[in-house]
Amino acid sequence: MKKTFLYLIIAFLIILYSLLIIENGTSYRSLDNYAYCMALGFDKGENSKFKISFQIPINSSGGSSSGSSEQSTSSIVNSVECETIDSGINLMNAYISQSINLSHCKAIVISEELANEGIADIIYTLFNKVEISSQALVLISRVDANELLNKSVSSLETASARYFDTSINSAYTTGYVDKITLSNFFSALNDNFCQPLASLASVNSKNSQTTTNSRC
Amino acid sequence: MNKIRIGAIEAVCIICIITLSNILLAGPQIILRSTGSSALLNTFFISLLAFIVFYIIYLLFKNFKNSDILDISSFLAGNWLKVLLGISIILFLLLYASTNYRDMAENLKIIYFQNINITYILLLIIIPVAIVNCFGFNTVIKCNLIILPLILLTILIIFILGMPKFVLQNIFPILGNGIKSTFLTGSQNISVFGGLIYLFLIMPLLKRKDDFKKVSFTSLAVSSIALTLSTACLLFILPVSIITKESIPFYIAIKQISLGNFIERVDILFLFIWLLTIFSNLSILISFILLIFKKITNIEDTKPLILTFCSILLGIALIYKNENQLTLAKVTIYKNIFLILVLGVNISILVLANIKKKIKDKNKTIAEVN
Repeated sequence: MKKTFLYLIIAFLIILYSLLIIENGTSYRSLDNYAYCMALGFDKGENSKFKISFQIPINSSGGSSSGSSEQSTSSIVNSVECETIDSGINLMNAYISQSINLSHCKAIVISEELANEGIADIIYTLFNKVEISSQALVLISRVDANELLNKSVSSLETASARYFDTSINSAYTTGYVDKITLSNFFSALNDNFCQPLASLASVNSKNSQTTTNSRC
Repeated sequence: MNKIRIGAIEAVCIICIITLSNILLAGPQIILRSTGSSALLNTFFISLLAFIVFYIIYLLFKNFKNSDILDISSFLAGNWLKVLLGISIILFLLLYASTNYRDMAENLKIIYFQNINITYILLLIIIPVAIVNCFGFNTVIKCNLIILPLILLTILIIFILGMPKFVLQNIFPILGNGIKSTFLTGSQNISVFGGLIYLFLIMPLLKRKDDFKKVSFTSLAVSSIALTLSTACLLFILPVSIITKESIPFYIAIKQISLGNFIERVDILFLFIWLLTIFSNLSILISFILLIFKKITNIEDTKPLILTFCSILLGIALIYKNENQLTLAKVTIYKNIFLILVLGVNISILVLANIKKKIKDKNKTIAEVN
């Protein structure tokens, strides 16, 4: 009995010590230190290889929901120019003073101009990131990805986080679009019996309302 | 080894855990690397080969009901062969397990602990193993009884949940890299059944010696099914070119599994099961090393040696400088040593011992008649 008790104490001390080592090894962050990115946009940079746009939701404490103009302020889109995706994320971390977290990234929007030059390295980099869910949508945008993210609002969906989840639901009812996720795109890129596909998105400029809706 | 007795189910768990930890870590990847899209064919083939090998081992052990390979080697050529074989088995077990151990630590570092030194992650894994072994062999066995069904259930759930993502065209070309790589050189992939080596050591531990046949074939059947399911899961979800290039293809395949919009990122659950598997694997390894060491050195108490062998394992795991060295060791060096030591040396000893026993019995009969 005494020996068992002694072993248990030793075990507890060793585990505590191990936890302390790991605690020192990582930086301790709370939810307030993270900026959860809802969508990523990739354009061709003017001075660099990429211009990456991050759509980050803002927590609105007010309850009024009248007027679509207030819905457009529920998220912000910030862009940086960079040579690589990781350096872009680092620059954005420095700019917004929070750490970008891609675990809730629902869409990856790539401009048509950049897509014409080949996006295999973007897809490989994103797929190898542990944070990004492989269920994120891949969209090719006719306009700049930055513009698409800025003007993406839904009249039916109030939560910006759910917008990209529900926007592609028409894939199940019509044949106009298909739900292409990062994993589908990545597999198709490497399979030797098919080519990768992605949905084409754009901003509707014919709309007469003050805010424009985007359709895929 | 004389005082410990385990039942048939516990013995099956021991052998299955070793094979399952190989499967979850790198088994299907090793098969896919060498055979390409004919991995499933190769899996069936090596399962069949393993059945034949297991049957041969069972037949050879029939005349030595209460002995393991060390006792048989002692019967064949004396104590020196027993000590030599014991040391070879201990060294091989340590080297072989160190690859799984280091692989697991590297995977954890890539996925979760990017900023932590690999030594701390290795310590995180080995310390519980040392603690469990302090409580004795029976504790290790009973922990395994809980962990093994979890692992099997996980493999089954991953296979079922991954079915919507299956791309059946990945099976073509059906012979993969060719007949030679599928059936000839591919037969070396039998090393995935790492539990084979424990079959040579488990006989004296069984409560009923007649259970040996049941134990060997049940464990082989369970391991084969698990290997087939995990290879199929990997082959149908990811393209072959990705599986051979990526370092943790199983994790990447599982990342893609989702159920509707609400169940995603099942890989976290899988990682937990993975950790339990490696704990189990290393616990059994240290237990068996202590048993073998006790047998070859005739010492009474092996508890003080637990930390020694754990430290040696940690040291060997730290030798590998990078992923490439680890892969080279696992896929090339240790695979061949497994084939030579387990299939070559051990079976040869069994065969020669059986011949010696037959000659002895014949001489005895002649002497009695005379």
